[in-house]
Order: sequence, then structure tokens, then C-alpha cells
Amino acid sequence: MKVFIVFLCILIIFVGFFVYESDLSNYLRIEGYLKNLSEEAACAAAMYYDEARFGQGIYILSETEGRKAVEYIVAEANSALSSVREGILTYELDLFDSEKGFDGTEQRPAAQVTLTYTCDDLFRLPFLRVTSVERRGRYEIK
Amino acid sequence: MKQFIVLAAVLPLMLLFVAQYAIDQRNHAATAFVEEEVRAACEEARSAGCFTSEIRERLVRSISGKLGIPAASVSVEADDSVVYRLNYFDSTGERGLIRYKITVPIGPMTAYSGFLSPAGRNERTVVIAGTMASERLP
Repeated sequence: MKVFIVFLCILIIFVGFFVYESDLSNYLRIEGYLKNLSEEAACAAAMYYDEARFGQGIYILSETEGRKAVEYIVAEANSALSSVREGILTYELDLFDSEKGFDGTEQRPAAQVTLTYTCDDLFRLPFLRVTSVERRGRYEIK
Repeated sequence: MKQFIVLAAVLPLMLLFVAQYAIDQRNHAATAFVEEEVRAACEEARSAGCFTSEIRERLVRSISGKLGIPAASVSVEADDSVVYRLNYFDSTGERGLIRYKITVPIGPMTAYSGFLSPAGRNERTVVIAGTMASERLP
């Protein structure tokens, strides 16, 4: 009986470890995916600019076109993610240029996209609870 | 003798966890590698305007060489006609965007695959698909 109890304890620990390891791997994949996606979206948002002002040597980002591009990319990602797991992906777009203002010491036009993925608990173990993943990507124009 | 028989029965079961951990680690590393390579290829494709044959070949060679899988099993589905940068976003998604889908089989998903899984249903496949805006100027 003693051997059986010890075996059962070890088995429960092993199974718990594997559940955690598999969930962690999944979490890291979602995090990596969001990181790449945010960079992709930021890059797309930074590509559209005011041509007339560009002729005067000023790079002014077009918020309307940038937002359309980010919305399109996020909508595609949302449908791809929903085929794997229930959840919703939202975005926040910040544009920085000489008209909209800069956020740092570097005076460079930039697009920054923050993605937040909200879903059910990503970890099946009861003492771990992660229901959202957030990653941010930034594209600066030198 | 009784304890030896119990050990003989339990040991393969416990070794399953060790083997599964090794496979998980390997799959995780392989997935991360594929993602990194695809990301690098995408950066090149974005500048070139499409997945040119050189970019495809380099990607397939790199993945098959590092993971030790046949080049024919790596599938790259992407636009091969050049897409040019636009100064407005085409909401239909038909212009100015490059789409891609890369499929790579990376090996067994579970340990003791021949024993525990039905034949041919234990293959783990990494699929990376996405859309990116082309940076190539006309």
C-alpha cells in the first residue's frame, strides 16, 4: 500500500508538471505571436503618410490609413486565434510625429501598436491564473 | 521478487514522462526556430515585394537543414508576383499586401508514438500564416 501511495503521489506530480509545461509552452507561443503581430501592425501603420507635407520635408503619419491597416491585420489575427481558442484581440494605436508630438527624447516619427489578447484562463492548474496577454511593437522612421 | 515485478511494470510508465518532456522541449525549440526563420524571410519578402524564389529556397534549405527534415515536406504558400507599396490602405486587402502560409512538420507529438498513437496521427505540424504590407516602391 505504501508503494502504491508513493507511486500515486509521483504520478500526480508528474501529470501536474506536464499540464503546466504544456500550458506554459502555449502561453509563450501566444506571446511570441502577439509580439510579431504587433511589429507587423506597427510597420503597416507607419507606411502611410501625408505626401504633400512629405514634399516639404516633414513626415506626418496618416492616422486614417494607419488605423485601417492595423484593423485589417488585427481582424485577420482575431479569426486565426478564434479557431484555436475562445478570446478577443484588441489593439491600441499610437502615432508620433512632429504634428502629433513625440513620446521620448528621440524626435523620430513612429507607430506603436499595443495588442491585448483576453481569453479564458491560459493555465489549467488551479493556483495559476492568466487571462490576458499584452505585447507592444514599435516602428520608428529614421 | 514481487517488488522487482512492480518496478518492471512501473518503470516504462515513468520513463514515458521523461521521454515526453524531451519531445516537448525539442518541439518547442523547433517551433521557435521555425518562427524565427519565417520572421527573417518575411522581412526580406517585405522589401522585395514578394516571396522570391531565392527567399523561398533559403527558407526551405535553412529549415530542412537545421531540423533534419526533407526539403519537400516544407511547404511555402505565398504570393510570387511582386506587390508594390501604396500610399493608402486598400480595404479589400487585394493590393499592397503580401500573404503567406508556411507549413513545417516537426516530428512526433507524443512519446511512445508507435505504441500509444494511431499510425500517422502523431505528427506535429507548425503552421505560420499572416499578412504584411509590402515596402517595395514601384
